[in-house]
Amino acid sequence: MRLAARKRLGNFQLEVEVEVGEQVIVTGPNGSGKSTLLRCLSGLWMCDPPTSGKWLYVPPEPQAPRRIRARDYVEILESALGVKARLDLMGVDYLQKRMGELSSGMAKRLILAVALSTDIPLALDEPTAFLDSKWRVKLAEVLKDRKPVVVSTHDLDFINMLVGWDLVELEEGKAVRVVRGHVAS
Amino acid sequence: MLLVKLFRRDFGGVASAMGASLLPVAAALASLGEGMGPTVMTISLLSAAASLLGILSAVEHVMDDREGWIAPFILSLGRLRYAVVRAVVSTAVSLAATAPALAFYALIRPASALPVATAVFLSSATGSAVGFLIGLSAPTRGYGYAWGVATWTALALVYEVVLTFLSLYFALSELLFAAALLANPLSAARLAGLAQADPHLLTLGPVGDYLYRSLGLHAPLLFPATALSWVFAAVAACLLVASRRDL
Repeated sequence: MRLAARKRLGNFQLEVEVEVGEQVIVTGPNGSGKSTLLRCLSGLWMCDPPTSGKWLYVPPEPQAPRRIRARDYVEILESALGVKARLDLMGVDYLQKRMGELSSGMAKRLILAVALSTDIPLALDEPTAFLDSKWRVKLAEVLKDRKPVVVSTHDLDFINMLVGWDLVELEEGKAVRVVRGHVAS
Repeated sequence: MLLVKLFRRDFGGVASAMGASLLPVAAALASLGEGMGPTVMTISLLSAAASLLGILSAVEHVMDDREGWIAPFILSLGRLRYAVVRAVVSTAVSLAATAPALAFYALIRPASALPVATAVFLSSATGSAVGFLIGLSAPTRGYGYAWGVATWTALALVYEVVLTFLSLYFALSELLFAAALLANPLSAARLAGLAQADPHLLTLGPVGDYLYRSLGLHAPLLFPATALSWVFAAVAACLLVASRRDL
């Protein structure tokens, strides 16, 4: 598949066009354009040329209205996405709590579980942020057979769990390296 | 189904708190009596409060979406349908939040209920559309609330004072003054109710006299028509912003 996006943000210019497989890791230093690329793919940010917007973007920080109960939040997301959330995927068993009572890791697991329950192409932005090692391993297992999916991360341990995925390295908005089926380092 | 779930989520915040605070205000205003004076005062105060409720609750709803996980809504609905759903839900929440105070007022002062309800519903709907636009444009929630309060202060409190002040120093024609009143979406909403309570527009002084002479009994229809046009214009602006802005 082709990952392509162009976006200007002040002095920063993202310009990416690469042919990759259906499981892709996007990596690179801070400010290299990883999140911008994923937001463009999902259609949340207006890019030139316009992207299909058929990717489900999952942000690094799990943000949700604090006063709402997790159960109600999941129901709203299920209605929007037309799926039944498989909460067991990420061990979510705290639906009675309000979103404001959840730790960042718990909220992130809830959002990941909903996203992973869909069959929509996923654009996961720093998916391991806030997760402890147990859930990082679990996430890598769940993602193993998932296609298409783009993961943006600079978590080396996590990258090494996704052996065989294509790897795109960004620098200052440009794809400087593409590795087909990377091997653990 | 999504509409109902979003309504339930959104009704619990600013809207229900401000809606509850309108109840004692409605009780105090109902105690003033049923003549034109008390009715006009009720329309002015409740419509001002309803517009503030509409603005702040819509800002809260849009920020809940924008600072939450908005991607599922944009992905499944698309930008335009998301904006329509958001406008419908925020307006419905604002109207529902003002309904208990209106029902209470109508119970005590049934003769004045219709003009007051017209002004309050149109004000909350207009405020909701303005708040939606602010929520889409503001960079953060804090800015959103600040811009909302500033906009409400400018349109609901300061605008007519400035207009009156200008008329002291410049010879503003009645037509210009009437156009200036209608150019303010919150004034138009308030005057839509006022025109029902006072069909001869006596409370608007020379401007009301001019409108009544020019348009006759059609004059009171001008205000609700303008107020509704403002609601649609603000929603159209929201659709435009939502279709072009980074979310």
